[in-house]
Amino acid sequence: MDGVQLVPLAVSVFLFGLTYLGILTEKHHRTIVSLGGAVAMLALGQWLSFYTVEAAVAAIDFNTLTLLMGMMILVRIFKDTGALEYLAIRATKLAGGRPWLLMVYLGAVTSLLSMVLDNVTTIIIIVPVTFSIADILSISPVPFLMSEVMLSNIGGVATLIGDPPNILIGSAAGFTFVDFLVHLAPIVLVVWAVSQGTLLLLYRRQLLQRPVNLDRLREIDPSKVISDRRGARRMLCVLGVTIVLYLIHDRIGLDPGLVALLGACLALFWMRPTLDDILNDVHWDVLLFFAALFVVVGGLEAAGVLDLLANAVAGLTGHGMALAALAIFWGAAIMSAVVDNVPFTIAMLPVLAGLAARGLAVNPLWWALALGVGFGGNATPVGATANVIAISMSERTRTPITTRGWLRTGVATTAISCAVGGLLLFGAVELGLF
Amino acid sequence: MDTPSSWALAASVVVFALTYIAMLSGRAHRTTVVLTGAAIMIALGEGLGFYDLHAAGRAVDFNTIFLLLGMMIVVELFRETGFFQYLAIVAARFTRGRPWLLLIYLGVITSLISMVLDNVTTILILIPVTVSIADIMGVPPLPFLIGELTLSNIGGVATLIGDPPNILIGSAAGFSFTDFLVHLAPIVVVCWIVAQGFLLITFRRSLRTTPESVNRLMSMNVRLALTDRKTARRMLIVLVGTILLFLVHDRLGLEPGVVALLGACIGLLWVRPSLEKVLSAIHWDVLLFFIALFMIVGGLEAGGLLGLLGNGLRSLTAIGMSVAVIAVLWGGALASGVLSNVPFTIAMLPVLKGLAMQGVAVGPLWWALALGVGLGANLTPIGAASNVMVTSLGTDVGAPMERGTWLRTGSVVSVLSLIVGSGGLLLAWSLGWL
Repeated sequence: MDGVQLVPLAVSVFLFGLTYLGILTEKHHRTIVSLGGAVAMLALGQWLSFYTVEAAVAAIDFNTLTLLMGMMILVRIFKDTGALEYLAIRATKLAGGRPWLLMVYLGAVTSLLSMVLDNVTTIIIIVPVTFSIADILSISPVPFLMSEVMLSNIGGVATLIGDPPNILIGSAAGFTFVDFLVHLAPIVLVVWAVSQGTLLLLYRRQLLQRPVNLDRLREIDPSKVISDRRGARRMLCVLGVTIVLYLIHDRIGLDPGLVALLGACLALFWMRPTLDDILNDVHWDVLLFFAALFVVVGGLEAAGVLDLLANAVAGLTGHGMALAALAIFWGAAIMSAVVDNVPFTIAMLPVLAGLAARGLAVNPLWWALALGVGFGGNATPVGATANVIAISMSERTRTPITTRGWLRTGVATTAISCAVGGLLLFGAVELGLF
Repeated sequence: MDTPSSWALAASVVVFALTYIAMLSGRAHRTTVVLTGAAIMIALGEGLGFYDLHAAGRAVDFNTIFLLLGMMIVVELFRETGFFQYLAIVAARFTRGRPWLLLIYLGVITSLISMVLDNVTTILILIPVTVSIADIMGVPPLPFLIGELTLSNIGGVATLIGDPPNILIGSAAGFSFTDFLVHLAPIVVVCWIVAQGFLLITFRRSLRTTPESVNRLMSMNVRLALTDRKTARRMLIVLVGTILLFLVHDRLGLEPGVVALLGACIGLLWVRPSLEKVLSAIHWDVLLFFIALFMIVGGLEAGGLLGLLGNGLRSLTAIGMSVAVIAVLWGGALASGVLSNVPFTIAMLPVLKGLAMQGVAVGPLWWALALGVGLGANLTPIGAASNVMVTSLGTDVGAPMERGTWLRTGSVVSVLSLIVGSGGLLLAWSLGWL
């Protein structure tokens, strides 16, 4: 399209702003807002002839949606077997009732799980278990909750499938599962260790408490939580196969979305659950939300807005790739603390992709985006979906997490993790490792 | 893309055939089977180089999916208000307890509704209502269920949105709402009258009631059925507005799918329901079924099978258009009965589109397809998704369908209507109306 026409530009920016504002203010459910925005963008776009259904559909990233849906199905079937609770309880028993060790183990388990499964489901399962354990030991669950959520947010950055922004970025940039491991896992490991240390320090007083009922703890039999032994073993197989497929997906020419779908189908056939129950538990509102956002941003692209933005970012890189990466990292971190990760990332995708199409080596910028968006989410109670879930679950107990409480721990931890992460990122880019 | 290899052809046909066989065996849920078939088709396609996830995404007709999704949401919002039950009871009271008149009225209402809403949803709403009315009147529910089902399948052929095959054909051939009305409604009306007459004769013995039952029916307070008047009024406005937009969609340059989504969004924003409740009531397995089926057929097309079919059909048209029309009508009917209307229609779309691109005047063939597939759906209990719903839901509410019953009723209705349809089509063709 030659030249940018004013009316489509104005209309698309207006609709985009309205949609994103609507999502922020949370007056209506965000899926309805984004659906409305997408339909309005499509309708007006068709009327003003700058957007079509084909273009809108082309803007939707099906690899991402299929990946999300496939993993949602897998997780749901896995969850039913009780294997995740089993892991949490075994970790607890291993810690032998020493609170600081318990925090480290539970944090580790949650992070490892959230590298493969989505953060939200992981948190939804681990939190109730944490409550019961803390209840038995008569200690406050808050330090463990905070640590689980924050470390799972951090840990999820290490893999392609660990959190939605990574899935989005991997799909747009064409990164493989191994790419993510090789580039991000080392940084994530260091940041994880540093953050764990920070959390231990911040909560040292609570962690020095002496737990009671240690013998009750010893009596708990972890295998009792497993409601379906055979199913748990089968699902571990399925997950294993899926992860192996992820590791080699580019070599056998399969999209990650397809891998997830194949894994889900394998689980569906092997476990024969009631399909309606499983499908009902798939977060369709999340999938619709993503799809609608893609359509909205696609409208912006069709109107030529994102070309303008890309020029600005290109200007940044003129000052040196490492600095540009750092700028994007911190910008993303701050934005993601305040705004939901996903809309922000989706809006950034075409910008960076556009730069890549012009021949700029934007890989460092992609990694900066992934890291910034992932780490920044810990700062505030609304920075990541997992935070919101954990807080709302804690509000039904005697020791709810307050906004103040979150901010006190969150801001400190995020500041330190971003400082370390930013340094490592800068170093990696300067050394040409990215 | 260069001509696909014979490996591609063989692989795609094998996957297609296996998927259908697995579906017919009924061992696993249809959607699971089809999803797996699609995943395997794509995986093989990526391996052999004739298909991939992105091509599969393009093969899905999202106009259809959006239309189904949008209308499902609108209907769900409507259903909760009790509006449909209200309508059914009003109709029953009109008949003053005469069962044969009830059969006619319920048939009319179902057909009218199914001209606007898809058959599956129509049937889902009316089944429990019909069963309770029949219960009150002391008559067996099965005649009414079969009547509603067969007549709604016939009636739905008259409009663009009346049944899924029409939605598909309208989208592929570029026909509008009014095109369907003008070309098919006349034939459909005649078929309907013939079918209704046959049903009345077949079921005459079951259609007798007692004075007590009539009294019970007349004393039902019809206003109690409408539990939420405000929402019903709002949704009526939304529905009427959506239908009006459907009628002029081509003049506004909007696709029917977008119109449906627009209606759904307005409904959602105006009624402010619980989004989780609405989303969980949507038949995601049906939507996924369609999406996966499109992908499978896309794989068939990429493998080269449909090119062969197109050649065969072209030779037929060379013999004479009326021959081809009758062949498509009856062939489509048989295939639709055996394979179910939607999968077969999806398979035929690329064939006819291909012929159109080669310059063959395919208009009459599209109408023959729409008529054949729509009327043929009554041939067997699996001819359409709504048939399947009645069979399974019927067992739930104590009105099980026996094998012989369908052959005596539905199949005969189908054949009778097809004979009428053939006559109508040939007449229209010879008069140059098609």
